[in-house]
Amino acid sequence: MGPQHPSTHGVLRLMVKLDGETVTWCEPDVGYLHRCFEKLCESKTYPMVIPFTDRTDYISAMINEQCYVEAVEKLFQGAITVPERAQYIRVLMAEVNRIASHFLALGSNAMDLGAVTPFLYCWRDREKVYSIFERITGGRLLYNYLRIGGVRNDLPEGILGTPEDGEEKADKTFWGFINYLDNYVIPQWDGLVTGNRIFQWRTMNVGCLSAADAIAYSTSGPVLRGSGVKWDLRKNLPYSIYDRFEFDIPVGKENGDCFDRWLVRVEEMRQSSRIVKQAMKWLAETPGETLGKVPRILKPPKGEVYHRIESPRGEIACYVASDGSPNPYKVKWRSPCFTHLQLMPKVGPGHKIADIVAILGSIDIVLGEVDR
Amino acid sequence: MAEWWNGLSPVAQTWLGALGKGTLILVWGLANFAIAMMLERKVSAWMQNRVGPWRSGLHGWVQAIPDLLKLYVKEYIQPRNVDYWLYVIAPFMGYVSANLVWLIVPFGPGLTVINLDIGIIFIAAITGYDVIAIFMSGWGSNNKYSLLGAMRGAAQMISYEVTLVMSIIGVVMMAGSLRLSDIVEIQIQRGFMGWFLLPQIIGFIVYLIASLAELNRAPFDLAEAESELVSGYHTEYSGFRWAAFMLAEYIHLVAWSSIAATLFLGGWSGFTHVEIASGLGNLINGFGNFQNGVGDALINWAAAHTGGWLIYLWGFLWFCLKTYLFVFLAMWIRWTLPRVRIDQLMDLGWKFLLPVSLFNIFLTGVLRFLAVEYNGLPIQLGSFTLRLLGLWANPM
Amino acid sequence: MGVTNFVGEAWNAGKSFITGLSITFKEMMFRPPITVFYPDELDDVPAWARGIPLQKTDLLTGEYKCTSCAMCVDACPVNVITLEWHQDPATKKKVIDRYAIDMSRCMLCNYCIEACPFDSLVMGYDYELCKVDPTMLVYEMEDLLRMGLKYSKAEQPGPKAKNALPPWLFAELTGATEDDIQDENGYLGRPPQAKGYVPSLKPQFQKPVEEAPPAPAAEAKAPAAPAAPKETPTQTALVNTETGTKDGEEAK
Repeated sequence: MGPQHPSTHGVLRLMVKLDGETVTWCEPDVGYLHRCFEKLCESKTYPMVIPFTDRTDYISAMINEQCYVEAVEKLFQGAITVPERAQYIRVLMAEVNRIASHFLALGSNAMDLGAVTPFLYCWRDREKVYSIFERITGGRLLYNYLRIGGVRNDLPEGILGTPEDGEEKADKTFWGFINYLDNYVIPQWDGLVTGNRIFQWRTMNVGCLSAADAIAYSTSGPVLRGSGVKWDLRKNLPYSIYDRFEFDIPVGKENGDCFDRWLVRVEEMRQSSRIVKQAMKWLAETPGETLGKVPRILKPPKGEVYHRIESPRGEIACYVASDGSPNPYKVKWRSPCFTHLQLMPKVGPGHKIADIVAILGSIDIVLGEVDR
Repeated sequence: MAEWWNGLSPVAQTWLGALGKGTLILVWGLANFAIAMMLERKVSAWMQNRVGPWRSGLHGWVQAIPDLLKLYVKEYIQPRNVDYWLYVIAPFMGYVSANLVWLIVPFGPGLTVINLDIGIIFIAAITGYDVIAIFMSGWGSNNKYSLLGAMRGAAQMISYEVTLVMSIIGVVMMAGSLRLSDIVEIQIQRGFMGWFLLPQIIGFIVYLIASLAELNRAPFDLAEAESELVSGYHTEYSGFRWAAFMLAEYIHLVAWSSIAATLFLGGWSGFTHVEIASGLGNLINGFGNFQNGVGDALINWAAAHTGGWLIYLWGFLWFCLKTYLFVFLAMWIRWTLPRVRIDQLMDLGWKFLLPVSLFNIFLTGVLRFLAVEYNGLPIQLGSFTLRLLGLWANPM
Repeated sequence: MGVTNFVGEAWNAGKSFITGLSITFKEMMFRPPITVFYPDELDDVPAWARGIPLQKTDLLTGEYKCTSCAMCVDACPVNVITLEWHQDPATKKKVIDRYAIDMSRCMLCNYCIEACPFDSLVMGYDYELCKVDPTMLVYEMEDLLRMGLKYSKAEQPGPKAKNALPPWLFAELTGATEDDIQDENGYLGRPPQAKGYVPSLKPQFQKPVEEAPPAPAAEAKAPAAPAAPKETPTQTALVNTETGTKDGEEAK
């Protein structure tokens, strides 16, 4: 199943051996989107790397930036303090980006299974996020917003909105978007796809991954939680200021099938919405600085750091090694989708060819991240 | 005109008549294809918050014509080792089998191309041709994936043929005739709420599902949409041959919808202008309570007119309306529901729909028998329900 | 198995389908399409959307503000900016020989704007960049200056101040054209003049309180000579340009 896929996962080649309708062997072949990101970083300065990190997992760009920026801040070992307002803004942007990324994951998963309409709804809702982010950062998909030491600029006036904002403000204010999400979008997903019996026939007991296997294969994110393992970096290894927020971690049943992963993603959207509301409340009340004191040329002390965060796809980690110069010595990007693709040879065989597409969709890969 | 026609010899009349009707049928098929295709694109667009084709004609409604023209002038890219005659004839087999259905459908009062006594059996036989078309294209393409897709598609269509015909048998039992125009007549005779939709609601639902499967439409479109992620049995076709497959698909859709309209919704029956006038007149008169000039005028006008040739037009209009109601229903279902998997499809067909349709036949038989035999006491208890369901009818 | 399971399954399935169908039906009937009919309609782009980097002009004298410091060249992560300069012996200022940005590879990250200490670069929101030939996407200084005119203002705001809003925010987008260059001898792309240069203003830009308007220039521009009461020829001239009612010129 060649590099050109009808679904939007990207350029992935899946080699599949079939016995009639049943798959006996399945292996992914990656590398079609390799852009030498890690090597490129070695010739750039630390701030210059930020737009490149956007482009690895382009569906949830803010979160990638957050990973790299926090890793570099750790390298400074306290010499750079990020103002609190910047921290809250980072969390706000990251969670809204998580919601938008899940829209796409759910939409493309549904489209792989034949329901084309939810895919179009996913884009309609993502456009609203794009509009809001454009008002703040200037970019729709790739933001270049976070900086080492804070964020680029403060939120413009009126972007937070008021809790009474309705759907017509969904592309102008955060509150409008959150109300739209809670009152319209998630019920629509539930009614149209999650509750649909045909969808359940296609995803239940398909692609089952036991908890032991999930841990053994280094999965993370919704794939891990869908198999019943309650592990979320935001709660278990809190980074940034996630320990100040109240939210739950949705976990699937031990079955670990595609339907569990779907439900985990939908529930994660609800939980992200909770986090966003708490962040907005704080941001509306407390003004402050958004960029800490940072030297003009960033030269972190010699050292290395490995920083991990929870992205919509799993655990993104960034390893940065510094040798005291303005250019990083090494940047390594640990991509969750790359790790999850190794599940295909494990989970694929034994299913019908139609299920392979369902499984791939439920793992939710983005080739930009897989190939970097 | 009439004199010239009557002056011809019967042989000439038969042949010229056949040519004329055949041309009309083909043109009707093409017109329906254009409308159905545009409706599909527009309806899917409206459901997805977008506008569909927009720039080609009157806000895009003319798009089918440029599309067909483009496909007509496209190059035929043909793999080298195809089985030539199978490969070439297959799309047109599909197209022909789609158009055959129009032969027995009553378009209006007395407007049937051939009023076969065995109408229902005829369409049951036609469904076989489409399977042949798929087989031919799958084998003739000399492509593993086409073959697999065709095998799946053929298996699907054969299974659902049985169910399709079973679901119609209930209607035949209630009407007592296989002739489609008779079925419409009987629905008219049953009067208000006389359509076979309500008494045969189970049959209707089974027919809906089975016909969607027979037409290879979502949620049952594995043969064409997903088969190894290429187009299934029409992978190797390009240009007008592919267009012929598309024609076959959409004309099939409209044709089977028209069968559904005829069997379950009363075909071409509906209010003519005369009936509307008298109904309006009665309404304005308050059913005799407040007689006034306007109401009386309408009723008198209605009584004086029999409608003339406009009756045919009204019949045709109602027929089109009901057909396109089904077409819309099929499109609505397509754009809402995900696809089922091939083994789930076969399970659904054999293990669910076939028993349900057999149950429907059984139920219809039993209730008819009771209604006819015991024109009395045991039915009194359920007579209200039966009346509502329309199963209380005069014995044939 | 059993009959109840059968019927129950069918009933649940039917209910879920009806829910789904009603959702799509409502979407079809009651919610308008969200299509923006490009290019007849354009989506609203906020003022600080990141389009391509452009160069601003000092509308007072027509000079470009760029001093060839090459901070933008260093800051660019993808090395798309080309800068060649020489020093003018007369004014002792750097004069640009070639300043070009290869827009086909620019990733619109706006680091160049942030790096520029002279507020010369601005992030325009032109996003319609389709060209037939990729080499046409290399924008030279004249193109950058011309496209950047509408983001230029006559007043110099001074070096970029660190404030809360994006520095490229140009709240007063003007429809400035080359005619808005106020200096008599000014032209687009004029290199920086010597220190202490006083521009000689065109009559329409002169302050009303000036005693002696430059005499030859006044007669040459007779229709506009009355120099109608204008507050300041600088900011307001441009504001009036926006509304298209500048003196001596027809409305846009």
